Amino acid sequence: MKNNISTLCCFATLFISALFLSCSEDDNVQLDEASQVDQNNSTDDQIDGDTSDSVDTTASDIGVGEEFTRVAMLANWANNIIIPAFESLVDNMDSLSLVANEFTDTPNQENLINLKQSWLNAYLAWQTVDMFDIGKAEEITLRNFINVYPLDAQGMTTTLLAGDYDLTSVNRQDEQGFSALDYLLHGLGNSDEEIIAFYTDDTNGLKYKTFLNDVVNRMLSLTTIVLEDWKESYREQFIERDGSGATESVNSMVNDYIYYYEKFLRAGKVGIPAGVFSNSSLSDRVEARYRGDVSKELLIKALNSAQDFFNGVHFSQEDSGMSLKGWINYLEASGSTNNLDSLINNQFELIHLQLKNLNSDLAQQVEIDNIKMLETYDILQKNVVFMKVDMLQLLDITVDYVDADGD
Amino acid sequence: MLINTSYFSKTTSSAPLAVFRVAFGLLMFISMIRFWALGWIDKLYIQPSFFFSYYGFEWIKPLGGLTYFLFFICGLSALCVAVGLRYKWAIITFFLSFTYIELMDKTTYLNHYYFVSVISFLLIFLPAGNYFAWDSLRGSRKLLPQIPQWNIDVIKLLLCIVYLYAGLAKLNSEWLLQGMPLKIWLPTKDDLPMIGFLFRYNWMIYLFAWGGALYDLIIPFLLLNRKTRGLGFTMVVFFHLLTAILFPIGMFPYLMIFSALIFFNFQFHKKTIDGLRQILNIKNRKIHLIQDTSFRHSLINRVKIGILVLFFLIQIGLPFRHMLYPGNLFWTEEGYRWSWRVMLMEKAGNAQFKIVDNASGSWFYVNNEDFLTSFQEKQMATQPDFILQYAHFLNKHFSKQDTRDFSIFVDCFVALNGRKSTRFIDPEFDLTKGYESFAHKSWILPFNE
Repeated sequence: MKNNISTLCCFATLFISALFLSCSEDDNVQLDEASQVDQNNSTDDQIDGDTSDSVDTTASDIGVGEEFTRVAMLANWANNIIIPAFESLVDNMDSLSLVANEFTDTPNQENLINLKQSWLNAYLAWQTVDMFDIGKAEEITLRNFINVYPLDAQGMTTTLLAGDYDLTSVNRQDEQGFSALDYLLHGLGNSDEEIIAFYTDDTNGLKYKTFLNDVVNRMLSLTTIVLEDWKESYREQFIERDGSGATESVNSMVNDYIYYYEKFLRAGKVGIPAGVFSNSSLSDRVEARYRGDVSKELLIKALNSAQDFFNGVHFSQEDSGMSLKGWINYLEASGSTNNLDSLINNQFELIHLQLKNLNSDLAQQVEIDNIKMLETYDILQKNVVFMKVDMLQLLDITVDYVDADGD
Repeated sequence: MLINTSYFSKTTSSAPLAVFRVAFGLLMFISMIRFWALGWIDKLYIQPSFFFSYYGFEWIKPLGGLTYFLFFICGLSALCVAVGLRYKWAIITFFLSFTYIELMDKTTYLNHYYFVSVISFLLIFLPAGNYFAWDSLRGSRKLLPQIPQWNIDVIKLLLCIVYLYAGLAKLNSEWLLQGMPLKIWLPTKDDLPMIGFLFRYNWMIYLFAWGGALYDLIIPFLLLNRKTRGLGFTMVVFFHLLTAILFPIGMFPYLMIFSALIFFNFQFHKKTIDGLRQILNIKNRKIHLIQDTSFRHSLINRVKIGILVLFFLIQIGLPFRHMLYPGNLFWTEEGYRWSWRVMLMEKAGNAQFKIVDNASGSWFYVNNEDFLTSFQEKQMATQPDFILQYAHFLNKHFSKQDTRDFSIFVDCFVALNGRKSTRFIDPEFDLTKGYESFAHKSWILPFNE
């Protein structure tokens, strides 16, 4: 009798442990997601207190040797690239807000020209953070409120004239952000005088002024929220989540980075206007279409930022730290080498060379000689393959993590 | 038929089969609940707008909202199998519903799902519901505590096939000499508590590679031999729990652990059942045992044996079909499935489809995200049969919009086991001119070492 029971106990223990293990493995993922949400919602102190130690110790680890650690890479990304880039963006948004106020107080040509320059500076600064769609930026869908193009100019004008609008609405995402400002500063008329006339108009001038300021202030407040979150709490969380799991920082960031490169840089800035996904080219889909002559400049800025991130170059500095390039070197040192980092960097150089052939207004390039745009797309695509296929395989990161069983 | 009749007349206790049935049914029941609870029914079978079919099974598609009902039926029948309620009908229903689910989209193909289908097919022919079952409790049925020995041995045989073929598949230079793909996978696990740091060492990778291959090859013999059975089972538990920790493989390790119990003698299983009876407070009713020996020579029995002989011939032959195809098996994947090739490769790809209007010559690229989930896209980009089926779907889709005539080309790059990505499919080949068949796909570019 005793024998029966003991056999059964073994059996039951095995079964229960099986259940427990199989479930706990799933729970981890759910827990991770849940805690991520929690962390996003919760604020400051306790997390600061908990994690500051670990960040300190890892910071000292970085200097020791060339040994790769995820935590060193995450720290480099957060401290030397992401946060400085957001700081620069918010600075630019601040001055944009000031200059916009000056213009709406005194709508004259001088102020309009200043405002246009401020807009361009901020737009260029945006290109350096666009790829960091993680944490607060992801939570509030920053990109969807800052840089959706093409603009729904007609819808925006209706909204603006109606006066009673809610810019936080999802339906208003294509009526605000940089492309709305682009239209408000360059697209209203053919000359500065014509444009200024909209703001000095007796009946609707005030509405244009209010809307302009509202759009700028919303962009300022959204980007500030993201920056503050990084500085106050998300930085620690980001660095602390240094595991190799699918929901950990490294996996999420690399996936976001590649997704950005593929969808927003390659397709959004080049492919869609060149018409690679449609039967005909769509020159009106370029970024900053009303301004015109800066779409290539924005693309170059975005491309440089993407390459700098890959190489771990500190924001607007020469120094660099651990990033994807260093990680690749580390991994290839211990195995067969494909010189993947050079492949990717060489491809970036080829893209830059190709960009030299393009008109500074990509819309014109599409209309005059779209072949060059199509070529650019194909050269950009090569790096999608290098990064998404070769790099992700080497780094053992799953593309757009799918939560399903494997063999 | 020239069968060794003395072997086929041998009988044994049905306790091992009953324990196997209970464990299998419960594990399947749990895995159905797990699948449902994780939201995978919706994610894998409801959300996608397009599904990859198996050749010859194009008529099997998800059923929309009814897919949930299908999973419900599958889970319910698994539970019925476990308790032994209307066993025959339950196991047939389970086999059909489970196999239907697996055939809905080959994106989700896994060897262990195939294993479940194969085992449940086998169970249809075995009298697993005769002992320690609801059916037998009611006393309405004949109790057959003695069943033919081969009824148990076929399960052992299938398990041996699975292990041996999995082991044989690992005997290649990638696995043994390059340490691939473990060299890619294991170092990433260095954040595991306790053992994580070990995966930074190269020798650890090779220990896992060689150990894994050796394990697969010797475990059947350790389990078959009475003297080494205890050791063998300990290894089974250790190995499968380790893989459960290291890799996201769901319920499979537990299924293998419980399946391996079949190798133990019937006394062990009797004790287990007696223990279960005590716990569940089921009286071991002394029903008059029918000494039914009709199974020995009945026609039905002969048909059963015939079917299973055929079944095993297929099981033994199918994994070798890749030899009929030219080229590298890992690269072309022609004859890769249904062969217990587990964890053998890390493959990643990117496929950009170009739709060319034959009349005007104008073209555009396809945004795969418009039609496929990221999981489907990932699987599609490395497997030629997926690429072909998707191209035909695209052709149909775009021809429907306007009645033009299209050619479809693919710009596809694949990286295999850490090699640099190279072109996978002939970019000049118009995929609308290719058709699925068992023949070699000549438009797969040769594999360059």
